Amino acid sequence: MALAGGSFFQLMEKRFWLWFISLLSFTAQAQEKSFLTLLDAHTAQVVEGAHVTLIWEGDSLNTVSDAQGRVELKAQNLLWIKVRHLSYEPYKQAHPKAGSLHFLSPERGQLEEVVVTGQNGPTLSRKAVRQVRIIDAQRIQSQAAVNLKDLLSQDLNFRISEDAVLGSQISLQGMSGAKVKILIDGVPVIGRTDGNIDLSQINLNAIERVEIVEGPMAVTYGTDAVAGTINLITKQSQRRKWQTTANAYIESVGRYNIDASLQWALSAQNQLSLSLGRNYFQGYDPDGQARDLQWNPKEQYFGSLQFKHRQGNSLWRYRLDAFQETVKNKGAIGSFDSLLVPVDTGAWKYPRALDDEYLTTRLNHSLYYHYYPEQGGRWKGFLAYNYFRREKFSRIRNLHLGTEQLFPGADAQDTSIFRMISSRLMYHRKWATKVDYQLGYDFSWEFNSGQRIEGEVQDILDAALFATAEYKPWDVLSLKPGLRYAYNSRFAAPLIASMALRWEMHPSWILRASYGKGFRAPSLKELYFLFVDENHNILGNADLKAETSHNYQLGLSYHYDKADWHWQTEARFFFNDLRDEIRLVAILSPTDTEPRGLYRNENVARSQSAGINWNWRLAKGGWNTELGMAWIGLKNEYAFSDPAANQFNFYPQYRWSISYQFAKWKLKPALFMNYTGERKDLALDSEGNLNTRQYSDYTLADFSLQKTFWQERITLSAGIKNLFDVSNIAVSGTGGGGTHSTAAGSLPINYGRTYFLRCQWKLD
Amino acid sequence: METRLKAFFVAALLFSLVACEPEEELRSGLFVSDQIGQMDMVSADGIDYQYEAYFDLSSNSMKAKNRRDAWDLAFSADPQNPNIYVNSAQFMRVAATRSLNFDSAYTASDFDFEFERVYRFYQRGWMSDALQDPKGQVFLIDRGQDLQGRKRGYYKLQIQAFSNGSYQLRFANLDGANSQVLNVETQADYNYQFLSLASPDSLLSLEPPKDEWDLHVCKYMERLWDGSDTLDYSVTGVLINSKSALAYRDTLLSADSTLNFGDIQAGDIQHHQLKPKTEAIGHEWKYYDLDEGTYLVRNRWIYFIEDAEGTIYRLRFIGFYGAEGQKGNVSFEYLPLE
Repeated sequence: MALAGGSFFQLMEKRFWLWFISLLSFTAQAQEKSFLTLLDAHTAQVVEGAHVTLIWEGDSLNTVSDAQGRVELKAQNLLWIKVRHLSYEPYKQAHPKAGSLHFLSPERGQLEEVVVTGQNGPTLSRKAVRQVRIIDAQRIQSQAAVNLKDLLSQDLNFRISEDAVLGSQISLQGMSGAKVKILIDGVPVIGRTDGNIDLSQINLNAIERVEIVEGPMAVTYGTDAVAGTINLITKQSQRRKWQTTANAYIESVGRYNIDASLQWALSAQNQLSLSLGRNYFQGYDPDGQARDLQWNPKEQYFGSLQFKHRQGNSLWRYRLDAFQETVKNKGAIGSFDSLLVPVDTGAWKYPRALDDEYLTTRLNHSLYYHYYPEQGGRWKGFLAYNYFRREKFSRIRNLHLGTEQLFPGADAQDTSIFRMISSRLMYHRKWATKVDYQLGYDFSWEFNSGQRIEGEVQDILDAALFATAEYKPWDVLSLKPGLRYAYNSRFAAPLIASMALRWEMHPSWILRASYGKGFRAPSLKELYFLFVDENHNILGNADLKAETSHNYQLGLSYHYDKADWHWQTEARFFFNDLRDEIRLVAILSPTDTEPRGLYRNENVARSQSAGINWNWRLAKGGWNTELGMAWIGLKNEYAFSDPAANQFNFYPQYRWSISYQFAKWKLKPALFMNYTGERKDLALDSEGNLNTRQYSDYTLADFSLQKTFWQERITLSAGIKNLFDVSNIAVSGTGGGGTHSTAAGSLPINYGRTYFLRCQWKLD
Repeated sequence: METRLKAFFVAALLFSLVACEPEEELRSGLFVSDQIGQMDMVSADGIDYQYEAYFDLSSNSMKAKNRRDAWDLAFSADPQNPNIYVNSAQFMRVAATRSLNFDSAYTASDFDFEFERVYRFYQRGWMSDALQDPKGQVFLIDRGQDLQGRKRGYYKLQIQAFSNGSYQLRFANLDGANSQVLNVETQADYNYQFLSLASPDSLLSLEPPKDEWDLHVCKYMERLWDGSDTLDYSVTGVLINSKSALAYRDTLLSADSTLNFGDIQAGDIQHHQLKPKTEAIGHEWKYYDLDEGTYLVRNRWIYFIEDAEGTIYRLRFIGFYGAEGQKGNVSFEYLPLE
């Protein structure tokens, strides 16, 4: 049976290649070119400097692709082409025809990786002027990361916090997630609740790699790119006519996920891909009997459809992503009054609870266009429409009868809708030999409606022109200035400038320095929030201006490559100064004719963060290990308001990961550890006293074992998440300013140690 | 091997696909033998707490219920202790002009208005001092808002005379229009009687006779601390009939998490703490839980109340919502102890 199955697939594979080659031959004949072109399968950019072996009957030739990614054919009837490039997976093709295009898949797991975020074009990460960190598919697989929250919980400089309703939130370089831009293939992710994007809503099943740039990227990406930018790059490479993948994931805490995808190369020019999936989490609470779970049950359905069309030097790509999530936030018994039924001698009390359900829908349409002529400038852009809806339903549940009814309380039912039309177009060209520049526009028009938004719908439009250039006075020195000029329909958009420097002091030593200005535009909710009832009067403020930041970074890196030894180390310092942060301020006026408490958003706060980090990575043979240390400090608004407390509160973070690939057994164990040290911050207690809160330290560690079977068609991963069984960490507070008070509590970090099993089935 | 792998994979796939939330088990009800009191302030059609109500513990009955906008001025019926207060449930306020000239033109923005706050209005409203020696003092009245939140404008009011439960007043719009003279004759059977300035011809007996009620659920004005300053805040709570009833919250018993309400006996009463304090019960037996988006009742807070007949009751609140989830449906359980 097994042999029969194997033969069937081999036969199908052979037929596919015959068909594919004949198709290429047809294309080649039509184009009548005497060369082959090598392209990046993800970005469709030409691949220069690839080592190509051309094999004929009884002869062969070694050559290198030129600046247009071309390889000249010296003779007809080519039997094979074999391609090797440091940044791409080895590639070979039988009977390639003149004029054919060959798409190379970026190499996974190597130190030399190509990045696109904030770059003028695909660039080796080592050559990038701004440091871009990559989390590749191998690490996503080894970590068994289902969503972005799973992945970043094991990353340096990030801190993840959990909210039962708002989901997983992020902190980067000590700054909140409201100041982190999240993109998918360069398109902004919308739907910030309380300023944050729920990372657990960003599934990784269709993600090839994640690129992270710390510090502002506002010149190119605009608002929110203050602390950093996270760009998720979707899977694009395809080397078979059919590729299907199915995944099943089970975790002992009660997570059950499945997804499947299909990629279909309709022709050499056209590709279609589909994916569908479901993630289910049954919820968890340390107290097994509780009804109100600390970790709410969650069910997600998601799917995507992508059509890619290549024509000549153009690439069109349409992508539709759909996502729906239901979170059930069950109330405790007693979270709502019991139903009273009086009788003569007393009364019956029937328990009720107030249950909330949050239904989130995301729909993203994106149309990408890349134009990469053999000579001259390159064009790259997108047009996108993003839709986000979050509905809240509150229901009173009679726990005796099992019946439900809608709760008529204020804020009990709510629907918030965000819609955004966005577009970005970039033109990139080399000018002379020393200047490489990029011009572009960035446009977004966002609409927001909701129960607490003044008026039915509010909109904000932002249109910007930006320019970056990379100037190389010498081969070892690159300067990259950037400028963004924007018009905003709601506030005076700041002029944004940046400057980055890369100095290759030695082939192995690279110094990077940068200054960047970032901004966070006030959200429509902050501008037009309206909550007036008999006891409240909370207003937005249409006169708000953008929060701004200044970021300074200095880094030094060293890399060593010899034979199969690759190691790389980097030390970096950063400093952020944030001004005009938006806060809700109480405004009291005893003579005001309005008799209620008035609160309004104002640009009043200032904060700073600073830190140093060091990272070291080694790859040798099957070994891959990484060690990182960070020391991150934050001085928040309260520190600025109290001279006695005006200092940075630093905390350490250490990260270590190690994996080994047993080639013979196709087995790969991997260990990830991330220690976050004791942390302090300042806050006001309920009586208005300044309070220093202390958060205890914790270590998150995951271990996985991955093995492939059946010619790598099936991959099984099993392991332990949260080895040290961390759940809640202690939070204590001590009052300052002459007042002494203590408070104790806990902060949920994780749901404790769990065991997981993941099966992946690939079929070509 | 491949067949086993496939079977294993399909099993995992199916298992993941069918995982879903289990059906919740039903829970039984709880019987309580204490008496149940209920007062519905009625929140409906987008208007919260439309009514105020009076409850008598000994007869376990709601003695009166009226719309909270039914009156503007309350008059003490005690011939020895005259008092007038305005309806803070409608955000009404008072400003003393320190003038005796009723015919002068007054501008509201020239004066500081005050709410009738809970700790004093039932004994001594802002106009009570003028009643001790009426000389024609002029006050400005901000009529606050109607139930829809619309401003109701201003009046000026002159206190001309008080004698043995009878009040003589004059009121008009600030510009002098709509001037009227009122003679209010109160009945000594009541603590207070009420008047609507929109129809000042008839005195309203909205409050039951003085010995026939113990609890009054209503909106009133409390001065709160908001973290940086004081703030007059409209709250919804329970006031006691401080002319005849005494009450206190037993903080020790309330803090005892092991205490069973049904075990509280007469011996637990701290008699010296029973006080004729209007806001002895107040509004803090419930609180708004921002996370839940609902008011939660502190049902471990224990109150003792002595009514006009001298009976002392144990009491705790158990609900603020009705069967349909409407707020303002105050429910409590209580039992006479001695």
